[in-house]
Amino acid sequence: MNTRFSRHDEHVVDTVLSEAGGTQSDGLRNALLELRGFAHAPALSSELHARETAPAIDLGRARRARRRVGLTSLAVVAAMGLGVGAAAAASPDFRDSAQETVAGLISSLAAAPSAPAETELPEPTAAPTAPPVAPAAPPAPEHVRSATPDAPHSDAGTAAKPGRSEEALRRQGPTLPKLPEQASRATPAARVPDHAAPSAGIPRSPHVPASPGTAHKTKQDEVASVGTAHETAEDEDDSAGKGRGSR
Amino acid sequence: MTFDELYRTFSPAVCGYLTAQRVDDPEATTHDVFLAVLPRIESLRGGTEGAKSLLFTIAHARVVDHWRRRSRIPAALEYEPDLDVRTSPSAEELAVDGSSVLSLLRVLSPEQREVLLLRIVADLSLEQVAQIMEKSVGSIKQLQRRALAALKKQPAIESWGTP
Repeated sequence: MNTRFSRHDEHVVDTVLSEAGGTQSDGLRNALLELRGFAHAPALSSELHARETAPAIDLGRARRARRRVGLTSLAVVAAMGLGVGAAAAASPDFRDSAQETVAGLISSLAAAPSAPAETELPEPTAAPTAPPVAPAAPPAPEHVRSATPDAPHSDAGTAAKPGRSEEALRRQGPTLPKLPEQASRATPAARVPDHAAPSAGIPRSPHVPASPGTAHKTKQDEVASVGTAHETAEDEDDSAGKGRGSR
Repeated sequence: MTFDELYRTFSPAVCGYLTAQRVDDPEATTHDVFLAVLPRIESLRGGTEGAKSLLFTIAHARVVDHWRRRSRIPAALEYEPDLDVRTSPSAEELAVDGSSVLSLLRVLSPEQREVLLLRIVADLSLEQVAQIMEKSVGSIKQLQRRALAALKKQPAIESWGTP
């Protein structure tokens, strides 16, 4: 608080005292002068002074906001790019697929550079060249599956639809490549182990609960299963051999 | 008078007036007062005195709002013994505390205090104060006279300001 008082301050206080009339003490005058000191409060922050020109502030804010939005979107895109890069670096499958895609694109571009719309079509044709190698692995799991706990599951699938015969499965066959044969083999191979497993001591025995599902099967299925029992045993041996080989 | 000049000239007085009225945040309220004046700056009449009158009219309204709000809602502030008006100052405080000129105003009624602050801190005339407080000049004179008489009765006032 400012303790020095200007003439104006004294004039203000003296005016008030004279308006009240009577004799005023020095103590009261000093107190009023001190009160007058509140008029000389410390300078306030210059925030308002900076905002004197409101339109300019608004424009500046808008520009800043636009800049902020641009920077934010840029940062988000950069972060996503980093994430994709990290994923590519981490998983070899991703790199392989990316390489295949790039190779397919390059080969298609080299083959038909004038038709960019068709460049994507050769990709599926190029892809099947690789799958023969890759599906070579899946069949083994399929055979293994026929001899492993998954087989009862396929049994249960057939049990859930009692009216389904092998023909129906064969009809569906063309939709799933290489499945028809495996399905025809898998169903008996799965059934026989349900009865034969306890004697054979193969770990399929725990999934005996699948046998109730076979109770709902048609007689044709049962006959077929009995008729193919010896075949399934052979298949089983084959599949076991393959399974070991694959392992 | 530009807004810049208005702010530089009167913001200390407005802030001092609000501080003497014990508004919770005098600086923020001062900013509010000037922001309320800003849209009307083009239509101001009466020169510097007109601007000053308008400023303290708005400041007075803010003070009234503050005390009305305070009467309804208890202030959620940290406890500061110096600001606790329910306590009576000790003899040491009365003797030592140099900034307790505001404590002298405790004996005044709100209207008497308002008149004194508007006359002395805001440096407004009797007519301007009467206009702001929506009273007659005579009643303002009466309030001022009674306020000074009440101050004069204070024991500490006789030796006020003398070492």
